[in-house]
Amino acid sequence: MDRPFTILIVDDSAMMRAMLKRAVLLASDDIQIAEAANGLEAIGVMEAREVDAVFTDINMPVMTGVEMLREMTVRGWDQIRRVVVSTDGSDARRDEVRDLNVALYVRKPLAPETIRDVLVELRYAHASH
Amino acid sequence: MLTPATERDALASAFATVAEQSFFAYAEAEDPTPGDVAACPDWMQASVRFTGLFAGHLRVTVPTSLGFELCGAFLGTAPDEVLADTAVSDLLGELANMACGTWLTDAHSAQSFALTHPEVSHVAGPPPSPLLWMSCNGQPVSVALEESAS
Repeated sequence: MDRPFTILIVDDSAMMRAMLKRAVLLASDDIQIAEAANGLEAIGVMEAREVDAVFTDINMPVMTGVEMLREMTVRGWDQIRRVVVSTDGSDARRDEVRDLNVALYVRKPLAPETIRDVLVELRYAHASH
Repeated sequence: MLTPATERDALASAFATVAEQSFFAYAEAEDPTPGDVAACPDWMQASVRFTGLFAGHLRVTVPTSLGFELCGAFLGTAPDEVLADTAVSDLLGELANMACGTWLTDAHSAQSFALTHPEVSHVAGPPPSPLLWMSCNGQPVSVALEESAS
């Protein structure tokens, strides 16, 4: 049996993780969700289990989203689709993550429809591989 | 260099956007009457420090009752559901974080800023003479902006 599509949500706000989880499951209830409160925790989750996509905040304590994306690149985890979900939508930040294999960059605050669109794109890309 | 007065409109717009899109609340720049502020016995303040082209603190101070109301709207909880204080603190921090990030991105998009983890606490009241007052769902919200060394 196929393993369910798994998304890792990385955000230091437990409430934001809860909101993203709810939005994802409303859009598609066959997705499995994992959570982490910072980049370091997320690396641990990705070491321990298979993850298809990661939704990550940028500004987090312990290890930021950018540091986590760099670590993923170093480890060669290019098969994991990367989505940045951040309040920081500056050109400079987008340029910074452009070379880190980021598939989509979504600004907070975000509407549930945005999550649905992101999921459609991710799953289409996943099915194409 | 940060000149808070010139950021007033952009901050008001950023706060209103975040309030509407994430918390399903209506917010607009509006000075409260002294009675509006005095009618709120408990307040919570969320503070975010930013560094980049310039550095400073954004402090958002809301009546505690509004904090709970916004948290309930964000989470989609039933009106009679009891919310934990930690959940409200987390959400108010995220509100300040999103307002700060939206303001900096919209007003200074060519620059990148680092934002610290928000600090949230119960306070006696809003700071005197904030940069901006907002009315959010009819309740007063104080938005203060202070420059600091990078």
